[in-house]
Amino acid sequence: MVNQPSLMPDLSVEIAGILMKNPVLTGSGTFGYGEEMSQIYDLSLLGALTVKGLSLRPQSGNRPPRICETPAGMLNSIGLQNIGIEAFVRDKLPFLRRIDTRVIANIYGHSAEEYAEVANILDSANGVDGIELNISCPNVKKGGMAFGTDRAETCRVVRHVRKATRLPLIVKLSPNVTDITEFALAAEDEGADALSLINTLLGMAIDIHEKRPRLSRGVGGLSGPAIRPVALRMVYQVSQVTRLPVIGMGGVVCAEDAVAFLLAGASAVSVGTANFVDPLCPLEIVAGIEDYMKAHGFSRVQELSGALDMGES
Amino acid sequence: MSFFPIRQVKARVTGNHQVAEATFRLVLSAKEFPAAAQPGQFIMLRTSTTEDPLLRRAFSLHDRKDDHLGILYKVVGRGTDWMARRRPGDVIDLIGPLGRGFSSAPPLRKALLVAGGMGIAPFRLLVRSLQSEGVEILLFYGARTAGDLLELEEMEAASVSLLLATEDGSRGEKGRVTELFREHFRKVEPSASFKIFACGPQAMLYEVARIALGQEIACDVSLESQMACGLGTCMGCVIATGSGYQRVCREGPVFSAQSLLLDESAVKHE
Ligand SMILES: Cc1cc2nc3c(=O)[nH]c(=O)nc-3n(C[C@H](O)[C@H](O)[C@H](O)COP(=O)(O)OP(=O)(O)OC[C@H]3O[C@@H](n4cnc5c(N)ncnc54)[C@H](O)[C@@H]3O)c2cc1C
Ligand SMILES: Cc1cc2nc3c(=O)[nH]c(=O)nc-3n(C[C@H](O)[C@H](O)[C@H](O)COP(=O)(O)O)c2cc1C
Ligand code: FES
Repeated sequence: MVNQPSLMPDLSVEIAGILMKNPVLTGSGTFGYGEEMSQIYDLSLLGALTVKGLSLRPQSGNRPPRICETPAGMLNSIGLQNIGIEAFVRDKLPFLRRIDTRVIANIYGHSAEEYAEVANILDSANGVDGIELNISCPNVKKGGMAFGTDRAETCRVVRHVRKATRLPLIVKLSPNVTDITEFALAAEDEGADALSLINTLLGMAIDIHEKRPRLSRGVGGLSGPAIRPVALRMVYQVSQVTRLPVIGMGGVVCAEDAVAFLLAGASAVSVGTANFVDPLCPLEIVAGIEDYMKAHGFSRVQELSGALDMGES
Repeated sequence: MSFFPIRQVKARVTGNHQVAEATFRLVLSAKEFPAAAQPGQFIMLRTSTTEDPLLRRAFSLHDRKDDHLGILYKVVGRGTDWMARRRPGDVIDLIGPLGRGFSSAPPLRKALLVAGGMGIAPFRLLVRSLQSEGVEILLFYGARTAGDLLELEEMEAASVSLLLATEDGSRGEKGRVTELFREHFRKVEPSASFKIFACGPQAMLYEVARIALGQEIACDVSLESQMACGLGTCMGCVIATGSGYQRVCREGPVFSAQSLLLDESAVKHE
């Protein structure tokens, strides 16, 4: 099907009831609380921004070294160092309210009840447009990935949080499972409004001279271009089975990557590690998607989602 | 129109000269780079044009004159090797100025600078600013060997008193710069109008911090750490301080000796 090329393609998308001016978000843990990045560019140009994972109480995080570079990527083991939900609402949210973009709060808990409590606090805090449930962090002992790699636990935590908030609920899936579609469907059944994927892949690097792991905790989460093919495959698989909108992420660094995720079935993309390498890249991605739409005759960005030709007749 | 204090700039190489073994001085023309940059601040350089190596590399701001930026760097791996192969006219993408620099508030009368190896890099700008405030400057400077002692002419021209140490004894005292520094306080009474500024390997910095705390002299140390963003967003670069883990790229790279936890086991983990 060939569409009529339009002069001004419509980049806006609605995900889980959150209306975004374009389909480019920033990934949790790669954008601080927004403030830092506002010193470099105008954040209102983003579709949405996602803040660092928030927990009920402040977390000191893991001992350094927490990061190391790997081929076309990096490992991190931050351990969710964050200021806690109360300080976030008190000290960070006022700034975010003033920015004309959507704000997604990424949350994390040690138990389903704790997740629900954090969600509930955000429910009454004006300024958050949606909650992203991090059940996929590989860098904490208790909680985190444990919830996202056990189907029953995924169901339990999503159910608890669903009851605790009226805010749009995005569930962030772990790639460290055999079949990610099972977890997508579990989250959908329990009332999630959207899915985001992927979180980091569990990995490791070793300093052979010191005979020690490069990260203090031994293992960490792999991100960046290195994980892009895995992420793309998972976004494709999940999009095939779910009716929920999917936010695709994992190694997106340029508009071509973003378009590939959209074609694979994502409704929007999130930029993570690339924010470290090229802070302005989300803006270049927005512009590049628009160029692609013009060149290929798409008038609305939604039309890209799943417009993949698998060559089957 | 908003004001963006941190800029991503495409800078043009105007010079890249070898100044010692595996050590180069890179000069970049960067008109859009904010003029307000402080001594001790740093920049993040993209040292590749592909996805591998991926992350930017951190470098102290070494010089700043008109539209030009200087970086003094040592080739230690892939990124710095890429830098050494840049020629005049090439473009390098950089972000800055980043972090908190040295603070030299009055009643500062005498500055004791301690540098180890490449730790000399941020001192050119610091010396310039201290000099303009009429502060007397002593530089304790240690390196592996005489050839690795950089910036000596510049420092002498700026009337900085030099106290040198090399590990092989080829110039100055044989041994470590921290020994030279400790020795100094056997002869000189500390005063409230002194301040110590240190930059170099972490072990040296923590040693200097201990001496400073012992002598009750204000002391700024400039730390390094593995960085991913340099912008304060990834939480990857933290070090242990009295108020918990703090970001070297944001609350630092310059920390006061008092704020550092010299014994990391004191950090509380949940
Ligand atoms: C705030 C700050 C300021 C700095 N200022 C300067 C400067 O003015 N001049 C200068 O020459 N260097 C400076 N460095 C160190 C510089 O960032 C590293 O040498 C550089 O990142 C190495 O990159 P590479 O790709 O060449 O080496 P890689 O291939 O990444 O690593 C090669 C070797 O260098 C070590 N290394 C890598 N990064 C660092 C680091 N951040 N600190 C210590 N060792 C490291 C690795 O462990 C490895 O052994 C600074 C670092 C920081 C954090
Ligand atoms: C340093 C770092 C910290 C992260 N912190 C979080 C976090 O707090 N919560 C979360 O859900 N994901 C976190 N992530 C995962 C990213 O949001 C993203 O899902 C992942 O990195 C894959 O995307 P990328 O390849 O574009 O980075 C973090 C990633 C990195 C690199
Ligand atoms: S390097 Fe990312 S927070 Fe410091």
